[in-house]
Formats: sequence, structure tokens, C-alpha cells
Amino acid sequence: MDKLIYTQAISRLKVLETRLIERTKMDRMIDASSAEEAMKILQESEYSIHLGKIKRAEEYEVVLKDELKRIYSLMYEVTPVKQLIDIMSLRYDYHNIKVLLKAKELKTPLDHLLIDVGTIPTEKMKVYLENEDYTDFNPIMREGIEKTLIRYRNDLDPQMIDINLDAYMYKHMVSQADELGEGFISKFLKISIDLINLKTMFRVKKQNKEKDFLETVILQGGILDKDVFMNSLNDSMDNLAQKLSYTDYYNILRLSVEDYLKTGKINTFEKLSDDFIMEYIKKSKFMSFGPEPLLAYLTAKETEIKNIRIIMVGKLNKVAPESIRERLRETYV
Amino acid sequence: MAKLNVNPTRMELTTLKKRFSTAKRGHKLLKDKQDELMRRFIDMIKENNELRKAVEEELGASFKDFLMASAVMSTEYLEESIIFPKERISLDVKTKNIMSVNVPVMEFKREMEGDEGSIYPYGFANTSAELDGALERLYNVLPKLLMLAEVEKSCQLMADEIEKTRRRVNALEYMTIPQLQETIKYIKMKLDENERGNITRLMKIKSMMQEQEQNQ
Amino acid sequence: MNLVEFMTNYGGLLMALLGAALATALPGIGSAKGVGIVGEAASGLITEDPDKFGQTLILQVIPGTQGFYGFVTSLIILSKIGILGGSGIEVSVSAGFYIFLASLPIALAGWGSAISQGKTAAAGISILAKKPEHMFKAVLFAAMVETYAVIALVTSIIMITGIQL
Repeated sequence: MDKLIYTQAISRLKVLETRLIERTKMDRMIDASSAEEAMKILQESEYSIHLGKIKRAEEYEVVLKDELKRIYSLMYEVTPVKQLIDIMSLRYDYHNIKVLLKAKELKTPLDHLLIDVGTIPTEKMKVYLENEDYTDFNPIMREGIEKTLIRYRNDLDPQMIDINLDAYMYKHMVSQADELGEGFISKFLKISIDLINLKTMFRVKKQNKEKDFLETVILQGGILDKDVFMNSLNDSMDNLAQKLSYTDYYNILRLSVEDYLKTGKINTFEKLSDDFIMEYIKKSKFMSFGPEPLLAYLTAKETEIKNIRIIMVGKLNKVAPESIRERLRETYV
Repeated sequence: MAKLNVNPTRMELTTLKKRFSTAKRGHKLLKDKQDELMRRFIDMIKENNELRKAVEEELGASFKDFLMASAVMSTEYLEESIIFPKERISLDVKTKNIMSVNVPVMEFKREMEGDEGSIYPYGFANTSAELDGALERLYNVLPKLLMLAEVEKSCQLMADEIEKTRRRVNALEYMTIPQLQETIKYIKMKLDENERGNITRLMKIKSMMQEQEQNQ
Repeated sequence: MNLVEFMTNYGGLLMALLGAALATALPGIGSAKGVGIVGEAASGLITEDPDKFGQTLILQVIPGTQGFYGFVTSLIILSKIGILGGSGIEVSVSAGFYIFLASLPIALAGWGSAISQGKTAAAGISILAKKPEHMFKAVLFAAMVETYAVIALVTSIIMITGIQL
């Protein structure tokens, strides 16, 4: 597709990129004396428009949710190709589907857990799922819901709702990206899938689950083949890292395994994989044409929201600044 | 000390004396019970303290993990993940008798015994590994938490029982027994006085009778 | 009049005019495209930051020069063959072909360089967005592309003036 159609969107985003919260400001927030002080620093940023709504720092989630909604509606306004943003917002659709299916099975309303930034508005989604009418859905999404329901009704295992829908979600995202035919975005998804699979594998190992289980939770469509994971479930963490030394992930694997052996926790890997994706996304900083900067801005913004959440949770609970900094994700600017 | 409002008769004195000896025996028994209860109670309090410390420490750690999980996941994602539990745990409550106090004994059973992963009811793609850690900790603290509930409730019940026993002991010691003693003393005095009055009267009658005889 | 006769009579003028037309049209298309790209980028910037209108205008004008160069070349050709300001000189077939070939450097290089320059200038809008104090560097980058348009223009002019009618 013609890369030039994104020109206007990109120069607009370049201005918006200057308004992202840079690392130094985040550091100031971390070093603030209280959560309220940290909130005040947000006042100097794009978030200030939402701050009037809340009275206490504890309500920071409201601000983050509003900002997420604002960003997605902005991106839909800016982008010349709707499908591009759809790939990212699909994740919220599937989240909403999970919530609604669980609400249905539990027979309790869970509307407060819906996030209204998906490709299908939550109100519509609610009506569709209530009537089990999936005619307006994408075939993959439709198949996902139907298969999930069959699976759930079979063994009444709520975990299957999540696992099944996660698998269909990535399938859906990958198929959208393939339709779009943008290598950068396809690779972005592939890397994400690989990193999720690696993390899943660590977690499955820790939970002492069997191979059959691993097979159901490993996502398809990454660079690394499913067999790589299936064959190394019984390997030690060290061996696994060695086995994958030919991949780009070796570095982060090595560092996380080192940390894992020390603390028994996987959170280093989580942070490093987020950083890995950020490094990949940062390549688009130097691209003036094509869809890359759009994806980059969206990811940058989502990471920023995540970082603010980490800081606010830390500040409200008086977590030590080093502990917060340890978990803070790499920022785009 | 007030005395009981009774007629100073010999029959009353016998019943009171009987009551007095029962009260004394009861007092001794209750006192023994109180001592034993105290001993057990102190043991239990010690155990309770230790458990509480351990549980609080572990819960604190689990809470901290949870906090970090909530930091890296949005509330909606976090809640969605754990709102539909996979595992059911049933709790069985029986009672045990310690020194006539019915204390609870709790026992819980996992429905999916042996499946270590069953405490995680969510998928892997959108959840953080920190959540796994928090849930694992939380799950591991559960047996201790139940034990703590058990011990704490027992302590409460025993404290109530001790209080009750002490009140009874005190009532016996400071009310019933002195009252009975007083009343017995009073009746005895009254009876003695009656006796003395009788003797004086008899002596008087005798002297009057002698006087009459002399006068005739 | 058959085709051969027609060509021998009017072929020279035909080729010369074709050359003149291409010299204006191709760089014109290129410039329009280039200016359009920069304009799109600039309007994106202005949506968020309207104060930078003046600076964006400078960047937008840069790819416009090729169209102008093409136009100048056309004028020279037209005055050479006498359509402009006079009496219509007879142009031989060979001379017509010479003129046509001479117009090609600016026609092709102008076309391509205008689009490239447009892209460079559009990319320069990003510099303007993030570091407005370095805006002039963006202008320089875009101006570098200009070199080749100028070379093409000079080549075309030398060729045209050198042709003997």
C-alpha cells in the first residue's frame, strides 16, 4: 500500500510525541514525596484534562481509563487506515467478550469491567452476546466465541474461556495484519507472540503443569515454532536460554534466567520483554512515511499509561522508589 | 455483710449448714477449673500470637505481590482474570470440647486435589506472572489462616468461659459463702440467746415457785 | 499528404513542442506531488501546533522549484523556435529531435527530484514538530535534492542554446 497516505497522520503524531511524558518526569514522579505530589506532576502533561474529574490520588484509574479512551478515539481520527488501529483495539474486544461470557456464566453483572475502546462498542457487544447473535462479528471472532462456549460447557472450566479467547485473539490480530500486508506490524505481532509464549512457558513450568496443558496455551503465529516450546518444557531454565541462543531473545532470556535463579520471580522477564518490544518500536522514530509511527505512538502511549499505573500504585502504597524504578518500563522518548 | 432473710430456727440452720458445705466444695472445684482454664488459655494465646505473626507476614508478602500485579495490569484486566474461580474449597466445621468449652475445628478440602495449577483460573496472554506469585502465596497461607481462625475463636470462647467461671468463684467467695457464714452465725446466736432466755426464765420461774412455797 | 511528407514538413516543430511540453508537464507533476506531500504533513502538524504555519510554508515551497525550472526551459525552447515573440522559424526534423532530447534532463530529473524533495521536506516536518530550533537543517536536507534539479536545468539550457537551427 502507498506509504505516503500516512504523511499527515505522522507529522501530527510527531507533535504529539513531544507531549509524551519523558523519563525525567517519570523519575520526578517516583521521587515525589506523596501520591498527591506525583499527581501534581501529571498536571503538566496531557493527562491534565482528566485530572479535574477526580478529587483524590486514589482515583488515578479513572484518569488512565479516560486517557486510553481518548488515545484510541484520537488514533481512529488520525489514521487513514482503520484496520491498523483495529489490530490494537481488538485486544479490548476480546477482553470485553471474556468479561461478558464470565458474567453470563456467573449470572452477575460485571459491566464495570468492560473497557469501551474495542472495535465493537460495549453496549452493542452486550446485546449481541446476550442474544447469541454473532452475525455482525468477524468470522474468526465468531468462531472463537462459539468454540469457547462449547469448550466451557463441556468441562465447566473458566480458565478455558481465557485461554481459548486469547488464542483466537492473536489469530484474529495476525490475520488482520496479514490483510494489511505491513511487514513491520506483522513482525511486531510475531515478537509479541514469541515473548508471551516464552513467559507462558516459564509460568507453566512453575505451576508444574503437563505438556498437554502447555500445548493448549502456547499461541500460534510467532517466529519460534510451537515445537520449540513443547520440546523444552522439561529443560532447566538455563538450558532453555542456551537452546534459544540463536534468537534475538537470547539476551533478555539470559538476564531473566539469572534473576529468576536469584529471586524465583519472572517479573524481570516481563519487564525486559516489554522493553524489547519498545526497542523494536523505536525503530520507527526515524520513519517519516508508512504506518509504523502510528503503531509506535499507540504502543508508546499504552506503555506510558502502564508506567503511570506502576508509579501511582507504588506511591499510594509507599513502595520504595528503587522498587518502582525496577519495574518501570522503557519509555518511548 | 448482709445476712439472709430467714427464720432463725434449728431446721433452717441445718439447711443453711448443708448449703454452706456445698458452696465451699463448689468454690474449690470452680477455683481448680479456673486455674486449669487459665493454664490452657495462656498456652493458646502464645500459639495464637505466633500464628498471627506468621500469617500476617505471609499475607503481607502476598499482598505486596498482588500490589505489583495490580501495578502492571489494569484493574479491569486483573479483576476479569480472577473473578471466576476454577477451584472450589469446602470447609468442614466440627467442635471439640476443652474443659466444657466447645471450640471449633475446621478442615478444608480442595476439589481438585493434586492439580497445582488449579488455583490459577486465567489465561496467560494478558496476565502478569506477578499475579501467579501472589495467588500462590495466598493459597499457601490458607491452611495457616484457617488454623489461626480456629485458635482465635477458641481463645475467645475460653476467655468467655474463664470470665464466667471467675464471676462464679467470686460470687461464691465474696457473696454466698460470707452470707451463709453470717446467717449461720446469726441463727446460732439467736438460738443461743433463746436458750439463755429460756434458762433465765426457768430459773426465774423456779425461784418464784420456791418463794411461793415458802410463803405458804 | 502522406505520413512521410507530413513528418518532413512539420516533424521538427512537433518534436520541439513535445520537448517543451514535457519540460513543463513532468516537473510540474512532480512538484505538485512534492508540494502536496509536504502540505499533507504540514496540515497534520498545524492541527496540533498552529503557530508553526510560517515555517511549514518554507518547507512546502521547496519542491515547487522544479516546476518552475521546467517552465523556464519551455520558455527558452519556445523562444528558440520562434513561437514566442515572433515569426515562426522553420525547424528541421533533426533540429526538432535535438531540442526534444535537450528537454529530457529537466523533464525527468525535475519530475523525480520534486517527489523526492517533497518526501525529504515532509520528513523535515518531523524535525519542525520535535525540535523547531533545528528547522533550518530540514530545509538544508531538502535543498540538497535541489542540486540535481539545478544540474539538469543547466544541462538542458546548455544543450538547447547549443543547437543550431
